[in-house]
Amino acid sequence: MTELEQLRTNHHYYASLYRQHRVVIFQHLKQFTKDEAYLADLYQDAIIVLFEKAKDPEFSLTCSIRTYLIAICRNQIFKRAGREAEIVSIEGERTNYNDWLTDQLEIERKKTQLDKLDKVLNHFESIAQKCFELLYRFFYMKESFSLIAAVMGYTNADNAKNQKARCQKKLRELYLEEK
Amino acid sequence: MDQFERLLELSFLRERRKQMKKRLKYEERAIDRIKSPEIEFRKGIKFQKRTSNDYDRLKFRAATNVLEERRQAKAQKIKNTIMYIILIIIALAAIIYYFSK
Repeated sequence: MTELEQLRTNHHYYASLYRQHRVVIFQHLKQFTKDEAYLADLYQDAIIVLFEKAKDPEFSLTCSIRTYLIAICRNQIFKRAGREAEIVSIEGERTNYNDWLTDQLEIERKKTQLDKLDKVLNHFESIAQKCFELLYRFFYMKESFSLIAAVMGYTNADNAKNQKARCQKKLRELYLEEK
Repeated sequence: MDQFERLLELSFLRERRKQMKKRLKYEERAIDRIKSPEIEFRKGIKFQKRTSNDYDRLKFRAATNVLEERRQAKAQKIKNTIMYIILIIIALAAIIYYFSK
């Protein structure tokens, strides 16, 4: 089983991947900065990018995972330094790490709304457990509707999809009521 | 995707990234401890030592695992039923044999 496949199937694999490539990647990145805490922060973000990409079944790598992680770290160094023009292309990747960055920037921009939604979600978890489970499985665990239907006892994937829409509507009402 | 759905997606995404970051920071601290054994846990604090699994615990078990367990439980139940049926048949055969004498 390749490392990418392990990342897809084992939820905890990213932590061992972190240890596995850390030394070599740090050695490579030390040409930019000697600050280990900064490098650790970069490398942790790179592992998260890879983990999120691996969840997409269409994502494939033609280079090694180590090369990919180094490329993401280098991209981040340039981005953080505000040198967008020098972004390094990531070998063998169809989409690049900018998706991750776009989401991250949007998260920072919508912080107040997200904090409010988190509060509502906490309440929602206690009053509508099944609905919360459905949303959690879909958005957090990235499970397909057919899997959700099988595990939560819905007749088919379409039924689970309809139920998700209903739960989302209920949550939205709660969110709008919340001051 | 409507605006609210996007917000919901971002909320779960933020939570997952936060949990992963915590877990990776834990790994980094564990590596530091290996590299510099003089860094020790603070003395006098007991029962606070976290394990790596505390950081990325999911609220629900993965669907594939749940389904696999259900499948195994079903197979075990069928196996047990077959065993009981065989035992009952043997017992009945023994009784019939005993009374036929």
